[in-house]
Amino acid sequence: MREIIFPGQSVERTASREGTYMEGGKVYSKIIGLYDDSNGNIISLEGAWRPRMGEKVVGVVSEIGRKDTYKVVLSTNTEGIIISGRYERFRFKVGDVIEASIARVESESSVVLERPKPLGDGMIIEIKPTKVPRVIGKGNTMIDQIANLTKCRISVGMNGLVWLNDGDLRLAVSALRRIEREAHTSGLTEKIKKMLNGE
Amino acid sequence: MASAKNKPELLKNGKRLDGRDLMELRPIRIEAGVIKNADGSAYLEWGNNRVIAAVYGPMEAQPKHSADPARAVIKCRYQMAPFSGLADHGRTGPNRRATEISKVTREAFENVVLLNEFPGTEINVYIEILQSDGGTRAAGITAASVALANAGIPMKDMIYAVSFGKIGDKLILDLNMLEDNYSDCDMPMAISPKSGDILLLQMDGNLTMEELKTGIQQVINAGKTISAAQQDALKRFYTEKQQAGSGEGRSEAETTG
Repeated sequence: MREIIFPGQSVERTASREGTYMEGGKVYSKIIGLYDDSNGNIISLEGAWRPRMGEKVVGVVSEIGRKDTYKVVLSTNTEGIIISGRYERFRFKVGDVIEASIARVESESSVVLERPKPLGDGMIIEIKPTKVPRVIGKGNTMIDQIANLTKCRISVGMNGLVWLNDGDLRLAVSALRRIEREAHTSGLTEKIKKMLNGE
Repeated sequence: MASAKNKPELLKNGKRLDGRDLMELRPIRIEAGVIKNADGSAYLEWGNNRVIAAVYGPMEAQPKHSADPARAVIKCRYQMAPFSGLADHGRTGPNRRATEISKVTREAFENVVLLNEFPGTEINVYIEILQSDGGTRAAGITAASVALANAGIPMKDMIYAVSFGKIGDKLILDLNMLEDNYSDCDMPMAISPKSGDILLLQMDGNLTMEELKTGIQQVINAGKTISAAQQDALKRFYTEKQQAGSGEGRSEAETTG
């Protein structure tokens, strides 16, 4: 059974330490989330993005430094840094939208990016970082479905920025918004499929 | 306070001016997630009080010198809207009273928010009083607590606040404006319901030691109702919002490369 859990509510069993804290030998939730009492998982419903190594992100180049280093805005609190190597040099302009993966997390507010790829013209929307896994879906099913049915090119960053271009943008955005809103419900892939097919 | 000469009769036949029993709370209604642009928000109606709380962050602390490299800082602004007051009670702007309430609210939350998880950042808590009828700092804290949870900010507990007071020798709970002004004691308290810790206690007037102990107990008992209202608001937000229309009311940030 899944139920909503509040900060300060004690949990009997936990799968991981994420979303919980210990005090006096007892475990409590520290966030608002969905608690699954069969396996002890807590899925957070809200919250800021915490960068992790290897994650794919979407960002906007904000500053050009010396020797082709770049600063990239990833979220209100996190900045990415791109450092050109000896063999690969990058050329970006301020305002370019890029897709990259996180090579190293220096701190909550600063990460080093690798393999940046310019995304070109397009539109950026922001979704809640906690809903990103649902937007991507298991094995990319959800995002592939949206891309196929709307003929959009979409890039989803774990930081909550989504870049879109071509195709039916309006439909794609409303699908993304609907997933964000209904992330905690089941059978969502089917619902979105119906919606995109205009049923 | 008790200084007024033409003091109204606050108790009649054991009932209070608005017909409540001595230990009866005013009706509370909370709604979570009312402001789309904020990371978390709440609207609260508590008797005649109307409060909006919004939370932004954690984000990079501005100005930079206000950042703490070891933990997040909470910045709290309590403010009364210019139209909120009854008579001379609610003045708007950064006056002494608003500064004080902002400070005590911030300190209450510093005890429960897990600040060390976001070093160098700030969490902004805005409390706006739209209509006031006594006990607005308690209402503000209760609403801000829901807003913080709605923003997904990790914290040890969802705190609440309520005031306690005395008319003559009778103890009362949840004072309204008139009681606040003319009673013999007004004591707002903020409580962390999980541990029973007292995070805010201010007292205007006098209580005996015994009365103080009764007061704390009554505030803790009343907390069950208030906490239930807070949790109910969040529950409703996460279970009902799926019925809303598609994509409306939300502006899309657009950039071109």
